[in-house]
Amino acid sequence: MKRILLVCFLVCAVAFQSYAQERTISGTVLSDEDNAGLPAVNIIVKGTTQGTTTDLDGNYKVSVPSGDATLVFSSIGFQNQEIIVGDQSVINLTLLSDITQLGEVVVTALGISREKAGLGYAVQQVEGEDLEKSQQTDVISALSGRVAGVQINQSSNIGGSKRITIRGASSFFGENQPLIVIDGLPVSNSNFNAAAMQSGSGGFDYGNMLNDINPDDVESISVLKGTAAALYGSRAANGVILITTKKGNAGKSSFTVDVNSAVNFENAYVMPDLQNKYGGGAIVSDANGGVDGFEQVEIEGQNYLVPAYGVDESWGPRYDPSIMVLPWNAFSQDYPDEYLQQVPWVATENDVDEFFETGTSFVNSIFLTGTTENAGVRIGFTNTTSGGILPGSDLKKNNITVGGNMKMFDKLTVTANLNYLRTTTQGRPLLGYPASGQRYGNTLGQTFWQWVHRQIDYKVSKGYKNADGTQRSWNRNSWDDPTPHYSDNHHWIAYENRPEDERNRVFGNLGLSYELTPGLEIGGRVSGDIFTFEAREKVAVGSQAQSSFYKAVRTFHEFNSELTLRYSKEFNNDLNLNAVVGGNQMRQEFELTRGETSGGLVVPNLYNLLNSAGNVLVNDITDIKRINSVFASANIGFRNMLYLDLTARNDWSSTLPEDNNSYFYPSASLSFVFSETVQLPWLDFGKVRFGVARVSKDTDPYRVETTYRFNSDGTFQGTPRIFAPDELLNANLKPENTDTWEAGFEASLFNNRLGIDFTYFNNTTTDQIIPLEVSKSTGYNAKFINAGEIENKGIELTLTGTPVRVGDFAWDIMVNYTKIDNEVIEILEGIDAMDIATAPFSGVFLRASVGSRYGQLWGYDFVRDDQGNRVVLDNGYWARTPNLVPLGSVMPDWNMGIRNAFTYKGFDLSVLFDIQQGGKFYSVSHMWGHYSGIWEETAQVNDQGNEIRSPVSEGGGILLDGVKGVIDFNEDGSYTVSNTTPNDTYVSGQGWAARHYHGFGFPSAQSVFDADYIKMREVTLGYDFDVTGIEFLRNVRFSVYGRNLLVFGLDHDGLDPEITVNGSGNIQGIEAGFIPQTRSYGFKLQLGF
Amino acid sequence: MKNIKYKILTLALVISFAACDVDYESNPNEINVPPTSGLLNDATKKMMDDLYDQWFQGRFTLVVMQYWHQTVYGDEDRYVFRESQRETWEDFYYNLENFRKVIELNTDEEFRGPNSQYGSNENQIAVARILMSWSFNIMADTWGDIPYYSYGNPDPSFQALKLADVEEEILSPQYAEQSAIYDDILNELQDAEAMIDENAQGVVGDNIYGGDMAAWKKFANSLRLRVALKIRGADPSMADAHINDAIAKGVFTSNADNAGFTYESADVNAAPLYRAFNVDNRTDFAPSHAFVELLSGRNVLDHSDAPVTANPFLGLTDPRLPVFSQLNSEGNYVGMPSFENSGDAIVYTWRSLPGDAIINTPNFVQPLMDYSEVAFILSELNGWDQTEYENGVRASMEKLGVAAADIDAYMAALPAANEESVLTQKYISMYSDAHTAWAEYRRTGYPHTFILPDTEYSTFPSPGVRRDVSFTSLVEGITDIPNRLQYPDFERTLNGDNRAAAVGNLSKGDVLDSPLWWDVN
Repeated sequence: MKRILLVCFLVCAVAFQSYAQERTISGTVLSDEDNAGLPAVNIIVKGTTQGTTTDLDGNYKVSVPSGDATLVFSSIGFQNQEIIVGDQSVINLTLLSDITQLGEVVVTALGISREKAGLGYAVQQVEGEDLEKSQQTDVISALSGRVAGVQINQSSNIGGSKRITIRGASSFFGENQPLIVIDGLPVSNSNFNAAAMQSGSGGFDYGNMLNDINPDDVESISVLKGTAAALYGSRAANGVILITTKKGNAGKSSFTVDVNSAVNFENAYVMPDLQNKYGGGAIVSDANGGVDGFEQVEIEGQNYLVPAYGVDESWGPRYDPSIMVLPWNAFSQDYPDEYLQQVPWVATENDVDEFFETGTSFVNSIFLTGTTENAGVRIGFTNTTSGGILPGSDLKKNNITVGGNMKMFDKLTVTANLNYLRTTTQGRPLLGYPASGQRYGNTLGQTFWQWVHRQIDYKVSKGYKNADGTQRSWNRNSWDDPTPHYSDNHHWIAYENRPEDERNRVFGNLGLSYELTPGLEIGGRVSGDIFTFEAREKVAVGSQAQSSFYKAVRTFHEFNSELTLRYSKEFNNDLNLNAVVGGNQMRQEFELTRGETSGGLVVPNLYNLLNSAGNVLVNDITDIKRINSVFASANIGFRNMLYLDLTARNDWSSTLPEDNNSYFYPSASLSFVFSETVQLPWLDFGKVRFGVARVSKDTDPYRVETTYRFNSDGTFQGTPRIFAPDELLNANLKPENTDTWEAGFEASLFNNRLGIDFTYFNNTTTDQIIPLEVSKSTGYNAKFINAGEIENKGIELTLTGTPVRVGDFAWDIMVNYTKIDNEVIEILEGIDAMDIATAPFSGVFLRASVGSRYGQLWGYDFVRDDQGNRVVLDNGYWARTPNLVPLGSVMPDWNMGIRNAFTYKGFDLSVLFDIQQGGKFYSVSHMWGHYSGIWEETAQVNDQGNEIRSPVSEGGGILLDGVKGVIDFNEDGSYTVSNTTPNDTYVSGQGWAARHYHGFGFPSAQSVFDADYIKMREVTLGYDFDVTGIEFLRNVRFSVYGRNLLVFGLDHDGLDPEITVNGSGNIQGIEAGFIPQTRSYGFKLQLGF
Repeated sequence: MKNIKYKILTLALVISFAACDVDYESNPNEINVPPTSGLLNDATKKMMDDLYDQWFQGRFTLVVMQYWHQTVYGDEDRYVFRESQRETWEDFYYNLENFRKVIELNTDEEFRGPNSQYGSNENQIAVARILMSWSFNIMADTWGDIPYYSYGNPDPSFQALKLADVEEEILSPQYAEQSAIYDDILNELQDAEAMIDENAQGVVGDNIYGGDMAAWKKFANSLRLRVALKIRGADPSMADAHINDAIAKGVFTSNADNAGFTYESADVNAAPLYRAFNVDNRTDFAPSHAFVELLSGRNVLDHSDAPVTANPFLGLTDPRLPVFSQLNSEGNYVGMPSFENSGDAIVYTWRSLPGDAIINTPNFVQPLMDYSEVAFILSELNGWDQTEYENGVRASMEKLGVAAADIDAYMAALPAANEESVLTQKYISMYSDAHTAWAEYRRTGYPHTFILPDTEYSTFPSPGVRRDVSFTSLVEGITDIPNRLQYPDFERTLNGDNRAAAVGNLSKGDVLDSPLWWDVN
């Protein structure tokens, strides 16, 4: 099993050595676990750089100088062994497995592999092989529950967004996600979802750019937090996700082929229960000419009952199979079977779930790895074809990767990686609640959960189009006017207004390193990440909204050139030194060219910008950023017991004023392996560590010099339109600082049956560069300043244990726990809060507010008495606070991942639970779904057993659970409640439901929920076939897996908190029109030749 | 030795590779020194859009003034306004800051020279001052005390738009008192008018008068007349001084003087109400029952046919009705009542839509102020003068393109000028400027044809068909048309102390029915 831990291991121990005569030693290295040959064991002639690795069968050959040579055999997961050569020419040995991962090597900053035991900070690494056991959708969500200190929110929209933060949010408005580094190359994880969309207005979820990385290419993922990340500079203030990809490594002659194939199925999972007692429209009273609550109309000489199709609510008459009505689809002669056909007024047989399809994905990949003594190359191709749960949606992705290295002229090593990928997606869901002025029509989420007729049959609504291409919407203006009033037919949205996007991306690097003298190495590397991302958004002619076409082409590139000098030396076996000095130049350019039709499309079904009735509206944006850096680091190890790490870096950024654009920041960490001095029988390993660091940070481009912007609506009456942006820039900005310290200990106990890794951290960000929100009466929304202080302190705990290990059976447990206590300490004197986002209809505001956790939802709360009872007004409806008050943060209190893994012979079973406690979210769907009589609660039965929709005078209505009392409000919004008595006033069902809308003066807290969840995130059952004796086969593995199989502990059973993930940014916790999350399951076959 | 040199050299190479400083990367997307014509053009258009769009006008002033009602979701008709409507506040101030930038770039020594190509510096400054006064007048009428900016008055309580001012840098401005605001608006209009040089180059980017500076003078004077009249109850001496001065300097004398903002024919820059109906495809509004009955010469009746509102033009059909309203599918003009619930509203399919001239004309001319208003003001100032009254009615009809014969017939039957007839005609003429009509209602209490909260009345969807409805406010305690709009909530956190001080000046607090300073009767 320890072979799993094989990672690329760089030999660091070097020293001066004079060369003399040489001779060759050969032999075989076996593992004590199975007595089989152990591949990739590092063999070094002690005190030199000479060495080799064993081949697949554990055989090796190494040249050693004559004289007193000692060979050091090392392999991850095994104890090192030193053999004095003497006059032997064949040395065979068996390596003893090291049951814990003490010898574990992790990849640290600048790609340096180091023994975890010697680090003065917390680093946690996830191995590619662990991820590969089931088919991962992407790299970020694969980390969910696997690493302490990391919080992940993931939507399961097709190609959708994921947000990852390490040790909490430290920036009010800036990037809070970590830097992503792949093989030493920073890559973009941008997210292009519009801010308005993230806060709940309409828009598409285009996902984040890290979705591009193929999880099957990952060798390991190392998560650097706080101190560990300091060397990466400004962009690492939020930590670093360091991804090492699989490569062909020079060293031995081999050729392998791996073929993976997976099939994945996906279904809509958590969604709200909707009522099935009353149909859509409204009850037309007898006074208004209604018959049985319906409008009666005369068509072709016959009287019919028609529901009020123009009203997109479900406050219509109660279902009654004896009443025949003309449904919405009975008016088109293109559908003769339905034309003027009456149907009974009953609940639909084909409800919302009928709309969703089973998403099916196929992932097929092939990897060829060939290596020789001096060169290695790996070539991979992966094809992903996914169908989403929405009709008409699919995603196709092709990844091609080539990576290898070569040793030339003895001292020169060349490494190169190149990745190309192309992703095309159709039918991403339009999410949220489009705001006035947005070009979108209504979103599917709105038409499922907020504004709909409950009796709609989702099979019948597949007939969404007439022969002439016009739309058939259930929400016709009226029976004799088929124009969609507010809503398009769901299927029209899915098929006719289907967006498309396409991304082409190349990233890779080329590195050279040359050994100047033994122990001193100079290395140079250039890396690039280049992509073009084209999005096409359509509103078809015949939609409720004016037809339009929008096309955005984004191009991005980032190039890094890096030169490093590395020095390593060992002094008399007691002292080790590794030092690096380097410089980096970063160049980043982003361009957006966007066009949008105006005034509708000239002809239908042609999606070209020139097919615009009016002027084509354009945007042309270029963002350029440059950072130059120098950095140095040194780590000193003393007798494998005491380790000191020092780093320093200075950056010069093009985004800051020229007087303030240079900033220096250091870090230091110390670790002490106390188990080297304290010998306790039950203690296998013990270490304490302490680290401290500062990371300074620049800002986004163009926040210094005041400029004026062109209006993207173009000229008006022949004159250009120009305006001062609503954020005032600042010529005196300076870098912001994050100061962090951490302390931790690691221990391995009871013969390595129990492992503990505990960290306490504290980071404080000051002098943040923020668009300080100001009173709008200044003429601005915000001014950029350096201000504010935000603190994150918390603990990370990883427990590993092996409760049972009997014969071939083993049960391993791993628990990752993260608790983060975040507080906004200060903004600026006199400013208590700043808005990060406002939910549609302003029911809640997402704010940074002083004295509380970042990402605080402010809304209108219930009024409560001393006992915490909700207070109702004399009329029986909720009382509410007159002002917005804090209702809780969208950020969780703690997260925990629990993984149980069982192995028995070739079988392995792993179950991963992901738990989140704390945090809040706000649901606009909940608000309108009640207002419009769609959710099940709006047709419930009251405590007297009567329908709440029945008149209060007839025993209907609803008695709200609260007390009556006298409320005295003070001007500042505080209040006292006195003279409370039990509530005894029933209110009408519709009255109560409608008052979920806070605009009537009622609490928006009615639609705020706890974001707690317990998810069975991943279950994998696999079998590794025994292929010994089959010459051409290396391994065969078959696995079945499931993801997000079960969800428990939700505050509202119909609302999964992860539906609020509308982007990767700081705007979280607001939902205004969602597509359900999915659960998926699949099969994976892995073949190695 | 050689080895050490070698190492030092290499180290130096590594460091020098990146050690060089970088320059600030300037924004390649935006302009450092903007043409003031572009700023004026954009700010004026946005101010017009923000004030006259389907949200602030369509769902606020037009429904409050009962020119319109909403056809389905009529919460605002019953005084539940959206936070986004209160938040129009921020858009107004952004636009005002851009007007101020026009002034700044025509004042600053470095920029005034290059910008004089877009009109003489003084003329540009004067136009910006007039438009700022016009805007601030609307805002003060909406909320009461507000943060205020003055070009000409260093009053320390005028603290708006001072963030970009490096010396003061006010992040949370005080709210100026209304008495000081209106006083300053009147002075600003007076000074701006005097600043205009008709012989110097006219302003470029002016889509109201196309750079006709003489017209701007008249507009400044006429606007001063409007503002002074409004505050006459609260401060008669100040008002009268300005009224006399404005009239002496020359106010509008015909429709040719009207201040109107012309939209484009293309959808993207078309008039806001055109866009609401034709781009957003929202057929959410219809002329109100009360307004259609007024124009049709009928009273609004209760369930026993007794009048609940009295029509001063009883029996007289207004020829502007076909301009303001379309016929319904049965060929009648039927106004929309305000409904208790959306379900009732939707069955009211026999309503009329607003007239083509209002909602289907992309290049609509949005009036800021018309000559007819000036005529009605002059009638009022001269003891309900009959001639000015008739001038007002005739000008309103002529502007709307009513046929001369229809005008003559109507004028012949028109009841004589008195407080009610003049102010009711003034109300009718302000169909496209509901905000001013709202101020007029608060000042005078006219028209008397509104259906006030807690009224039961009857509608007649077809001849002979009666439907009984009632109107209640969704906001408890409101028995009349609202007096003001609440402050936007974001001021609580961003400018809490100053907001609280302003609320303290309101007699009932930050609620809809706190009367404004000038609303004295």
